[in-house]
Amino acid sequence: MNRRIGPPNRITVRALLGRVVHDVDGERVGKIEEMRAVQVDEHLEIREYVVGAHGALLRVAARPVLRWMLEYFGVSGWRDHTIPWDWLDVSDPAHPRLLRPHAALHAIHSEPPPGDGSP
Amino acid sequence: MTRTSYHVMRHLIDNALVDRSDTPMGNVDDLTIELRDGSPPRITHIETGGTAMTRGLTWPFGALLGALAMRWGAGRGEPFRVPWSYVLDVGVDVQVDVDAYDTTALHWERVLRDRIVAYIPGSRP
Amino acid sequence: MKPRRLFEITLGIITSVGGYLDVGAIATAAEAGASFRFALLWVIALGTICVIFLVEMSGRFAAVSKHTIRAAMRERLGANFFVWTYVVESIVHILALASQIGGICLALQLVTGIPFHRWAVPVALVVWLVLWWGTFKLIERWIALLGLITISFAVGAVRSHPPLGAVARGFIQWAPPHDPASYWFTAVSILGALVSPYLFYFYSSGAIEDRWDETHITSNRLIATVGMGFGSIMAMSILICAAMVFHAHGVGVAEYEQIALLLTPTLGRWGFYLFAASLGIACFGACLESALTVAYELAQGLGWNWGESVAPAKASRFASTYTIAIAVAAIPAALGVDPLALTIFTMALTAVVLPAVLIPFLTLMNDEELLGTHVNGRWSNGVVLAVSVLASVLALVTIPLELFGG
Repeated sequence: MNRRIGPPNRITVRALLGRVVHDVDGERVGKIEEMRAVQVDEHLEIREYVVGAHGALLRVAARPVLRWMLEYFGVSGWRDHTIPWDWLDVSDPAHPRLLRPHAALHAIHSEPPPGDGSP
Repeated sequence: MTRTSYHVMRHLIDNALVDRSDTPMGNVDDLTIELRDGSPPRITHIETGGTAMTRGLTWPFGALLGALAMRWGAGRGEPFRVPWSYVLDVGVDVQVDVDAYDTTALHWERVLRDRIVAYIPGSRP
Repeated sequence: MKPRRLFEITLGIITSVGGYLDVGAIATAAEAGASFRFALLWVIALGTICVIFLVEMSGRFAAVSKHTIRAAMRERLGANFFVWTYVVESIVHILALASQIGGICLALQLVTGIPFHRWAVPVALVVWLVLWWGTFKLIERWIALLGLITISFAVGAVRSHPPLGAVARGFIQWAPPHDPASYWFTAVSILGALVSPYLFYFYSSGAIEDRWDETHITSNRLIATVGMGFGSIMAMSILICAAMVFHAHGVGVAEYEQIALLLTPTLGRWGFYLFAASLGIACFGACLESALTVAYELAQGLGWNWGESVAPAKASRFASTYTIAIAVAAIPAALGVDPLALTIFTMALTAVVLPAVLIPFLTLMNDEELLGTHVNGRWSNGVVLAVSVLASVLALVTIPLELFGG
């Protein structure tokens, strides 16, 4: 399904959601799970993308429920990366690219941001 | 506005959409993003209904409902778009400064009401 | 707590009379009493505890977050999750609705002698009319009032002078006295009958219709306990009556006509009519609840205008949904499908589906953003999780056994 509307500089949130992000070296980083946006004048500006590193879980309907259950029972080690907007190239929403090596993310964020993505 | 910063999935996507008089008009099914060189991407519109609603669904519902929306939907599948500047409040619901009955969001509500429900006694208060 | 709040107990009672005490509960409790005497009382107690927790959570959720469960599930768990769970649950709800319509038809057959399938269309029509013309408050109050007739079960149980020692043992001992496969299947059916998902979806929608807020939290606990406790006592009474009337004489319960004799030894000819009236009214309440639930869930999930107190012209899609649900659910009874068999089947199916319904609900009840300090404690989580998993495991094990065992 074509998710571009009009000129290529317009995409939608759902076109990006769940897409796998790869870094400059082609290494898999994770899937786009969430975005943080800030109100500026009349618009919302996206400032950060939250990419979840659970490649093992399938994209099933109950994924948020499974994740909650695992967290509830103390299964941690879920790493979410928070990527600043200018580090991610989303011009091709099907293939978002991290403009840095994967390792650069560990320098800025090594634990899951609070209250992010979990119910 | 009650907030200045949002988690897009948590606070916006799939949340209920209401008009200026709190009449439900669907959900925030998708959001339009404008990409700009050298500036953060901007969310410009809320999209509701039509194929915006079916985009998030897996097979078979996505394909089935998408086909239904394009065949029978008010905008032939095109979602109804509200500019972000029309947003009045983001709290329990996302409230926008429109009148729901003027939009395509309530097309089928009107059709059912005018063609069938109105003829059945007891349908009006 | 304001005295006026006590009237809101009616929401609890109608939920109980409709959602808790329905054709499934009556049939399975009677079956349990006839086959195993008092041995399965503990299952009713377990089901009651679980339901009290669920209903309390459901009310608390609506009062604090101002969301209905369905709308919140869509927001937190996504559109895809909503669609899949809605389709599965609606199938169960419509089967339940069909069973309840069958129950009313049977009650009418008992009293008039006219075969039940001829009642299907008129009954469906009356159910629909009440929803179309009525308001939530009206339905809530009338069904709660009429539902009090089910107290005749308790009267019958007391007048049958059951041996109290045996009754008490029924709460403590859970080992099957005989025929384990059938015992556990009956236990599973009871759980499936008592813990009906439409029950707490309905309650949360009702709390929103009644405009509850945080000040209702304390009264909600009372309402949930008294309301479900009421239904529970009636279900236990049915079991005790069946044990005293049927088990004592070695009579099994295969037909509804037999169950109808439940109250005649203790209440005479009145007992027969009271049974029919109780069955009819409990099922009627259940019909209203399950039909509304099908419509509530769809409307809340898709962002339509909704509400039983809203005139159909203002919520046309919502009203059309319950109309279609009732029409579809009337078909089995009209075709002469045995309501008892349909009921047992639906109850077992409900038990299997239960974790899929309850676990997402639990994720919401632990969501701090929605509930603040009113999130679930460990007990609430534990009880619900345990019972739903138990029900499902038992169902998956015993259904094949029952099917193949005879």
